Amino acid sequence: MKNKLTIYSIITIFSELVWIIGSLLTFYYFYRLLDVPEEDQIFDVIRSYDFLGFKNVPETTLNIIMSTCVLILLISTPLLVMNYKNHHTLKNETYERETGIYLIIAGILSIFSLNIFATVVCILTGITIMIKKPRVKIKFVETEFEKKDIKIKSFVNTLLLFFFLSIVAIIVIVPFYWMILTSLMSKSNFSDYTDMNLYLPFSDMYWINFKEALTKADFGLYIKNTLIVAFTTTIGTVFTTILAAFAFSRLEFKGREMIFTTLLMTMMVPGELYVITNFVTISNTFHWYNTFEALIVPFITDVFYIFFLRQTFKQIPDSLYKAAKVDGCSDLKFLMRVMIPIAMPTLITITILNALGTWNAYVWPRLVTESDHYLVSIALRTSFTNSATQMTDYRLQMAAATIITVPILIVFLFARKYIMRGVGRSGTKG
Amino acid sequence: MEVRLEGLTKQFTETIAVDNVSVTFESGKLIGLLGPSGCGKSTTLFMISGLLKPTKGKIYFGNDDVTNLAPEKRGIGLVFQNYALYPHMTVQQNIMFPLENLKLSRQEALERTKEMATLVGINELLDRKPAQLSGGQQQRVAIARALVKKPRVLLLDEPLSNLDARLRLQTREEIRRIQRETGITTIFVTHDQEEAMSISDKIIVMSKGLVQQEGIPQVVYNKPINLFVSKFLGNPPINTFDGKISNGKIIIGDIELGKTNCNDQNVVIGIRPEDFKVAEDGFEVSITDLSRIGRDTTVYFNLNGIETRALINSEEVSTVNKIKLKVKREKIHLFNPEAGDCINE
Amino acid sequence: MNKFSTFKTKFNDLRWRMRNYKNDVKSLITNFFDKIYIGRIFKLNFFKGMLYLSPALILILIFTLYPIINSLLMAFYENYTPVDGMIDGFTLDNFKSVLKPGFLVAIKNTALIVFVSVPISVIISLFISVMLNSVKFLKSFFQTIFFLPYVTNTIAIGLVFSLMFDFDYGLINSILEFVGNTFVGDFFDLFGVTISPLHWKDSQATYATAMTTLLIYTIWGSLAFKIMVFTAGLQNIDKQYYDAAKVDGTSKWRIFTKITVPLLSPMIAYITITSFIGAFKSYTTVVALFGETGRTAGSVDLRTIVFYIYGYIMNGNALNPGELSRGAAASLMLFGIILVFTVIQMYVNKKRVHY
Repeated sequence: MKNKLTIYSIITIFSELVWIIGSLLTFYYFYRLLDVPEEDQIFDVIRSYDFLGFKNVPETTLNIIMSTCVLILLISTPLLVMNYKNHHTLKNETYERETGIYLIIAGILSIFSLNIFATVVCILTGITIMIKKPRVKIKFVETEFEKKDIKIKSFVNTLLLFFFLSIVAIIVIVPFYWMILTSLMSKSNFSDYTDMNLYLPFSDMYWINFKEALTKADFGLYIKNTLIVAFTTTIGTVFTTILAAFAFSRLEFKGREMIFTTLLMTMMVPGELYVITNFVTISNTFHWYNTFEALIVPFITDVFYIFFLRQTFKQIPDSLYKAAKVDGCSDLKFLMRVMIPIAMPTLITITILNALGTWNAYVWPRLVTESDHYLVSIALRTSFTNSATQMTDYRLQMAAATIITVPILIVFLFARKYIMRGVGRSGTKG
Repeated sequence: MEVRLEGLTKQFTETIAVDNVSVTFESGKLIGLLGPSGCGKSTTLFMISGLLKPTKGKIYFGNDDVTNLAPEKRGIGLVFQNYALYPHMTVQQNIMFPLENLKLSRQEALERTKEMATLVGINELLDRKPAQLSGGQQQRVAIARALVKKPRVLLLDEPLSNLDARLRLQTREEIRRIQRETGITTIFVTHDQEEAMSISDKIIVMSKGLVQQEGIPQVVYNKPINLFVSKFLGNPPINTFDGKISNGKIIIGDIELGKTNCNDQNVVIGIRPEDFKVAEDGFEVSITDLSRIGRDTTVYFNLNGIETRALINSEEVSTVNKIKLKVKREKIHLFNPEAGDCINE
Repeated sequence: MNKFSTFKTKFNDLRWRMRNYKNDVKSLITNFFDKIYIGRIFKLNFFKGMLYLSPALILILIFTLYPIINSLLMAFYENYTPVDGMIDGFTLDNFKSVLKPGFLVAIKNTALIVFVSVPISVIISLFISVMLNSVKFLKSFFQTIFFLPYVTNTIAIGLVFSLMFDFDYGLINSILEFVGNTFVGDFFDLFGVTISPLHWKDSQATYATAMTTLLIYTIWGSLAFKIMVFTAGLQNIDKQYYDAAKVDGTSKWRIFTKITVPLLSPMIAYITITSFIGAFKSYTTVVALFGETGRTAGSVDLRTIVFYIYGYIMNGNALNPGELSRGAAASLMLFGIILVFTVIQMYVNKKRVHY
């Protein structure tokens, strides 16, 4: 017999899952429905659509539906992740009073995602936990020193601290907000610059901009290019890095230290110095100009990652290696069965950093490719400016920027731990 | 399985870690390889295991010459000082790992794992990860992993040094029990003489890459072959004095301790603290300090300018400043001051 | 459930059997090699090490080590044509022809970026990290936000900045206009300063406004990395130091200058060196804001040294004889400048940093 709370939490997770999938499907359905205007028009055209028996539904209604879907996604996804993490504590009954408080807050938030099931069940679970774990009253003995004015002073200090931190946070957030805001604007909304538009109503969020950016500027192709390059370089890098780091950390052979020091020294030379020769090598020796090979092959190894992984491998005690040797374990098997599983966090870090590197690459792809092999960064810079008039379609540009930024932000939110591990040791960005 | 070393030598780039060692580890015994750190005992153990290649000499398991055999082909189990458990595998996976390289069905492997887990008493921990275990439990898993291949020889490298004092006592009894039950030839390395003396069938004392003395613990303790062995064994350590033999008498300063038939010469005299006895006809010393621990009292006094310790039954010590002590003749160890060898009569 | 577990056992059995076969094959091979290689252990080890290293090493040789040497040589070639690899001899002219007035402007631009953005961003991020470290509630929330710029695409966010600093559509000018119409604007009017929309980066932009835009973006983008490193460093400082200072009643400012900064000095040194190197190599920030010409429409030149280097390769320039050599010479000069600054930095750090 499972306990009641486990069933509750399963209901919550299930309902949130259904909600998320539902809103995703709904969003996709309407996204498919939208028509991208064929010609460049200066003014907005009021479009209307027929679907599911409804006739002549104006685009603003669609905007409202799609915006709601996104809102539901924005609220439900984090709640789902957190509830999933909480599920374990509820199952093992290792929860605290705080879990209950959190669940009630989650329930209240669920109201905004219109998810009644989750709201009711979350609050119910929260209250059950709060009843099961009553507040433990701790009496603080006030000392002579803790006079009231000191308390007030420290309160004001904390308040000031939060004030400053919030201001910085806003400064950091504003460009992202501005980007998303612009990407959703209609033409008239955007050109009406005399008003400072700090928000948009749901009906004015034109999700069609994304579709326009993806199809018109051929941005889908560039995303595909980038994904191909990111995927192959990452696999290649992980493969070469593991082997090299293993050789540098476990195998003993003549010249090992000398080779390693030489590699470390190359890290000090700025990349600009070897870009020139590499350009000649790629385009004249290998004839790879404007091919995927040019974007992939030079980047399937990285001295920094080898160094980074070697450090992790070195921390694995030598006695593990010896123990495996005694048991007749070959080097390769030891690498596969023991070292790689132990060094998994570092490998994840390397994977993420490398994929991010490709996603953000600009200079090298610009040098060795032409428009059909561009990666997202270059396409973003060049695709939305009309070459004849030098006018930039900011809305579509921002929509494209949002398309390439949001996935990274999601990866970052989920894998912050791994990214930060790598950052502590890496050099500069880019 | 008897293990025999013949003229075993290991030379690292500059130092000779093990120098021409020839010893025999008898079959079915628990043998302690004892010595201070850097004496070459671990090097010897690793050469037996095959992880290190000897510079010279031969290693025999029974009649087989295994000197050039790879570790996995020797049939040994090795337990490391830090246990060397794979952190990402459960206890069961850890114990089963060595069996992967043998010709065994998975069913057999599982049975053997169960069997070993029962032997070392970790049956209920099979699904845990090493990080969730205490030091003592990890130690047992390491032993089970070493034994699961049914090795011919079990090697333990400092098996107790990572445990706290209470666990150490318990675990060493455990090692003794497991060795008795399996009857496997076991060689263990330690720098702790008490540990070695308490559970070994035989100890081998090493220093500077050389075997100093081997034998049954009590015999080695009572009849140390040289000054080093006498100093290394025993806690509190042996008292040593510069003395001499003149006219068949053993003399420290102006105190005569007993008679001998050796020639007149300068000697180093060693007396273990517990060998002092209170006696009316003994020599008188003035006590500088006392520390009473239960049944025994450690008496500190100055003998011929040397701070000396004597372990005496508490009942025999009154709070007087002076005490009369005597040492039995056979408990007085005489050593050559230059070479440090024991002087035999 | 039961079915699943039997399936699991079966699967594990299968895996185990596969391993058995693999081991058979392996022992055949190793036995063979054991026979061959007896007494040649050393060579086997070297062979094996190289086998593991080769994928990485070959690539590094081709794309890192060889280019370094080749670029060094290339900088001294005369009339080098990359297509047939012909040269007319060795010369120092490449360096001379790089040192045009335009290149000096690039050096000036780069120097401005380096010496303004790095100190400012180091100081700001240090303060932010200290503030962040003294907060418990919402700490990881703030952390997440402050770290966002680190992962984002320099070009994408640069374009957002470019829009935000736009004369007509930009947020910044909207704010300036809004503020200018309030009492704050009137207040500043008293001192003869008018708060009104500025031409940040369009055709009417001046060098000062364009450079300011660039610097703001550079600083904004570089804060995240520094905050990350500093917060990591602050977390490693033993709390006991602060407790001791608290017992002594030390003021907050003194704690900051006498405890935090000295204990963080290795981090600060590391950050300054890497940021200087990074700032010397600034390129994408300029491209994001001002496009690949590196100029505003009113031809205010904001090109950096790296701009010059790439200018010799881009748009088919590479095919002209001698262009690549000039690029190599320019990149060598950049390397030299960076090297000199790093050495100076390290020398200064040696005296100041408490390790």
